Amino acid sequence: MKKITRYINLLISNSPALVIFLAMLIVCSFVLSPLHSLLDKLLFDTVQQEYGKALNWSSILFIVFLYFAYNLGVYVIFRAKDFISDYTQIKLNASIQKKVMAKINQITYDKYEDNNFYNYLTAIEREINDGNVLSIFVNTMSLFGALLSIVYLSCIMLSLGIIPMLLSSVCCIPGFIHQATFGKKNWEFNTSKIPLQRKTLYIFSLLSSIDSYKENRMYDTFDHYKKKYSHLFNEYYEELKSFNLKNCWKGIIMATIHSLGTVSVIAYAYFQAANNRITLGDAVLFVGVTQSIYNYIQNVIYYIGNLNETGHSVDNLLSFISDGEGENTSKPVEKQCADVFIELKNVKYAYPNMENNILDGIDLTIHQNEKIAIVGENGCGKTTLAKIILGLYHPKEGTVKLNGVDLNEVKQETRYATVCFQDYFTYSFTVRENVAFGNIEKLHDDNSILNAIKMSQLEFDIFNHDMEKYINKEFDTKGIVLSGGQAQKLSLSRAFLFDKGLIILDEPSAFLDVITENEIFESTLALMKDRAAIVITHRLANVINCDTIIYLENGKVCEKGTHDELMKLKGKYYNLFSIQANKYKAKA
Amino acid sequence: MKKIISFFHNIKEIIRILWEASKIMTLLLLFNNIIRNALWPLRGLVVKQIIDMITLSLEKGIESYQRPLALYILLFFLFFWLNRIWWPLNSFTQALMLSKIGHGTRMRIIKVMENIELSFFDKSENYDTYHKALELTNGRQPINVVNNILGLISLIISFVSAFTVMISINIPVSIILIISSIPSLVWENRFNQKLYNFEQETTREKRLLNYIFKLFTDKKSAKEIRTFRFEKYLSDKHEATLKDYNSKYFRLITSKIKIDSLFWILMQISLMASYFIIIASASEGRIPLGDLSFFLSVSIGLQNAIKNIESSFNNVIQSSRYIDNLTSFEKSYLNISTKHGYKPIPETVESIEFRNVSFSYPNSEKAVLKNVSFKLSVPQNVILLGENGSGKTTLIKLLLGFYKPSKGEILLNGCNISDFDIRDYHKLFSVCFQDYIKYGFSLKDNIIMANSNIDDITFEQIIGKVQLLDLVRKLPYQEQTYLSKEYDEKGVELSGGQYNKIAIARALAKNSKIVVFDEPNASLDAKAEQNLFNLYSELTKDKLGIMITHRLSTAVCADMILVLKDGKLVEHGTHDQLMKLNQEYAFLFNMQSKQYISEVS
Repeated sequence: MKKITRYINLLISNSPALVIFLAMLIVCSFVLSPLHSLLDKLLFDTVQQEYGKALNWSSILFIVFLYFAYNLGVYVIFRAKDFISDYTQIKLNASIQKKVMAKINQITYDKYEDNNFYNYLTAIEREINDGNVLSIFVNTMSLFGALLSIVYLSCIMLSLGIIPMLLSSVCCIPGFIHQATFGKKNWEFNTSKIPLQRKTLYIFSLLSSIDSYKENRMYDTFDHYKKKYSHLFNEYYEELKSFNLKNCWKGIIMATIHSLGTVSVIAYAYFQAANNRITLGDAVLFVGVTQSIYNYIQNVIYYIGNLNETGHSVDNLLSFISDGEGENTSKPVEKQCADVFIELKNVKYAYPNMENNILDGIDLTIHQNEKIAIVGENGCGKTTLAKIILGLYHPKEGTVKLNGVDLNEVKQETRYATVCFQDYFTYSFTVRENVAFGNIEKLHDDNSILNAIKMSQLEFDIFNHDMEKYINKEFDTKGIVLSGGQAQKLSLSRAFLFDKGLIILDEPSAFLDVITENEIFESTLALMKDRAAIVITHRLANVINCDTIIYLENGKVCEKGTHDELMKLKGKYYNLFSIQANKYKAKA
Repeated sequence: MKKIISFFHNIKEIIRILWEASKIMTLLLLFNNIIRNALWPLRGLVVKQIIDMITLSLEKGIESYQRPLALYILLFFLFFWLNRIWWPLNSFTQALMLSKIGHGTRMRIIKVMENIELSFFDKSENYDTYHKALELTNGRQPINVVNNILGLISLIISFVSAFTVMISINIPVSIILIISSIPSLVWENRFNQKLYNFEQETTREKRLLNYIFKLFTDKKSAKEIRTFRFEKYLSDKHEATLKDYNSKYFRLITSKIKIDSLFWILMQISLMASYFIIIASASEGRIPLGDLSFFLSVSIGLQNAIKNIESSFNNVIQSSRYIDNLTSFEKSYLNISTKHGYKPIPETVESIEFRNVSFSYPNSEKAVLKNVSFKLSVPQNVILLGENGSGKTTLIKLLLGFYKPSKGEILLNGCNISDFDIRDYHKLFSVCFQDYIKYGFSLKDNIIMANSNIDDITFEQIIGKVQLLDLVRKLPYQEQTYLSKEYDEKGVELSGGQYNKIAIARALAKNSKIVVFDEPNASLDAKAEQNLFNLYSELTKDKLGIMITHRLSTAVCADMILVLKDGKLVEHGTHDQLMKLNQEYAFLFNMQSKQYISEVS
């Protein structure tokens, strides 16, 4: 029941009048259509009566006029129905897509680590593309219209006799049951095959994408993947085949039962007419009505099956959109925090499926104005820690507080930090948009955007000084493709555009050349005197001037202090620093 | 004329795709479409006979007409049944064909990818062809083409049979019905052209809509959206684009409805006129009642058949254009890969030489490399330095034969590398790319890359060399653990540096004569970096190694340092030589070293 109200709410949220009108048109279209059998009867009866006599103009004109009126009615109703359902479909889809995007964005980032989440998203995406939400409504109304018509058509059949009437409906029942179960089975089959299909398409994408082309060439892996792909495809295909074959046979048997029943009723009507027990017009009427009943029962079967099939999947979509609606427990912190004080207490975190904690009890405070460097070996949890501070991951144990408020209770929209990720993203939009995504309020603030570009040392002239230039060729054939270093600088500009609160740079210099790296660390960071900054890097020369250096090992803070303090300690940081320094020292 | 030839070529191509996909399914598809769409006039004819039998038996008594009546009803049953089993048969064949054709198309694209050159994709129109060809792989378009063709064939059959019977009933009526449908036929043609243009014009919009939606679901972009909070901008952009698209669509549809209605009225008037004529002649007794019934069941169908014949034909032509995308993508490699008589790859690599090599990307005037010359001998360990965008990676791409120099030549043991079969030539190289791929496979498969010659001991050694042993022991399924959660629930995600080590291990496992590392140390920690350099020096004792890096400390022990600036080779030599030269290299080295030196000393 809750499902139905949820569904109706979604449907009429756009324009209730239109939806009601659509419902009326659908029912009308069903009730109206079989009326032409009555016209046919009238025609045959008249012609048979007049057969061989002088022309009776007026009665013929009258019949022709009735046909015309009927055709016109049907035409108008069907056209209107198609147009309105098309219109509603498009409106509805737009609003659903908007809701889904908003909803996806509210989901905590941890979910992206979960494989099922992707399958779930795929299913929802398919739902939107198939337009099943409206089709449920249309099918329900059609079902209603078809049932209504079956009732009144059966009344007409009753005048031929009760047995033909029953026979014409009963022979449909096996098919009815088959169809009803088929919908659900088909849905289950398709859903269960999603992972296999994803895998198959993944291998194909490795074979066909330009990104993996170079490695396929170097490692000569084409044949290997081809075999793998064909193997996976055949596995899928065989299952698809056996599933569909079974259903096909069942369908044919049902169709045969059905045809036998219907045609025997028709044969009965014709023989009655041949024996002059009913008029020819009646026979034509009964044949027409029997076929209409057959069509409508077929429709009913189809609609029920379809409702069964789509009902399941639309449920998914609906619950996705409306889950946790109205839940809003977060405390208001101002929309953008200029000053931050972040406190981590005994934070522990483990990725799903991993036994070991990647972070194992981290205590850390970040003050405004403080420059913190996080160093350590690969895989010690540096990036994970950054993601925790950004609120992307939620700690398994312990708390993260922003200005005294638990991060879980801070509104999602609150901006308190900016970041340049190690695996930054380059958007196939304009240069302006790519930078402005760091702080969308400054989308039209050319000075700030140019300044951020300057700070990242990005050679702006490669865009011909055109901020509206597209990056990548996806949306503009004149777009340009960036090199690794250039893309990294672009993502740095993005981070720099937000000039308050905390800035996190996760290996910002990985692909940068010497001069740029030097600039970024010596000048840019120095410019951010009044901001909190966290730098993750392996180039230890860059962190010498930081206020605090944290050496992470196995998810724990192993050493902490200024560069001088840690050098005096002669511990792990000292070792690491010496390895790098010695290479220069030896030759200088 | 050209159009007609390409049309028939496309049709041939589609039939080939079908036939190769599955012979039985093709026949089933054909049979199915014909019984569904071409048999209705015949069914009307059977009903006509039944009605005539009934009227005859009403006049002359049922006795002598019982048997033929029963026979016709049996025939009626046959048609009825054939029509009814269409549905299960059709959903069966369509489902299987859809996936088979998609598969067939994918295999053909794979074949192109195996043979095509990387430079092909630098031209944006080629990039488009590639994308459009990829769109065919869901199989829906090819199967639509097939359905359209079969639809056209059935339409013609049914039209001819209905028209023949109709003419025997009343010639003027048949002609009225046909002529009245012609204007509407012409209009359909024009509208279809409009529709096609609309689809072409809106491809960008549709792609944009998908792209924005993908940004929300993609793991990398979702992370940034969550931190930078520009979701509203994206969803507004999505909404605006969608609104724009919808209003265009509705303008098209409304104009269609208006004009359609006019033609509909024209067709109705002529239909009603012919109703009148037929009814009048039936009631006068000039035609039997059976003819009346045939007329009733077939007249509208006949009108529609003419009206639709154009759009059906048009559908076939339009949809067959999609095949063009595939065939033109295929042609792109057929033109280039026909060279024969390659030289055999030498047993030992003695030298690599760049002789006056210049290069600029297609469609770009800017030269990325300018007159670069150098010679490297084996064994040697070479470091390639330069600012971002100075052409280092491009130089590597040329060396690997992915691109051909615009001027000059690249020589292996004195032979131009284009004289070798590129596949054999690639066997000489172990490469770790800057943008290495993270495969959604197990850790082991990520490293051995389909190279089944690697035994467990060698594999262990490689893992040990890149210092991944500890990590592998900790993973839930050791080396069989998937490195992605997307394709295996028990998979794990590695950190950037860990993945970097995997990419290096991948290159080590190939164990070729020349080693190329493009910024392999980008995300490695100091210890791992040190380890990598030890590994590199060890590897290059008997091999040629070329490494791109920004860490100048690496260059200290190199046999040869190449410094690129703005596409020119500005300096080359050993560390000591270049320090003495006291120019570009010395400047960069001092900049990096001063921080370390001042601290330690």
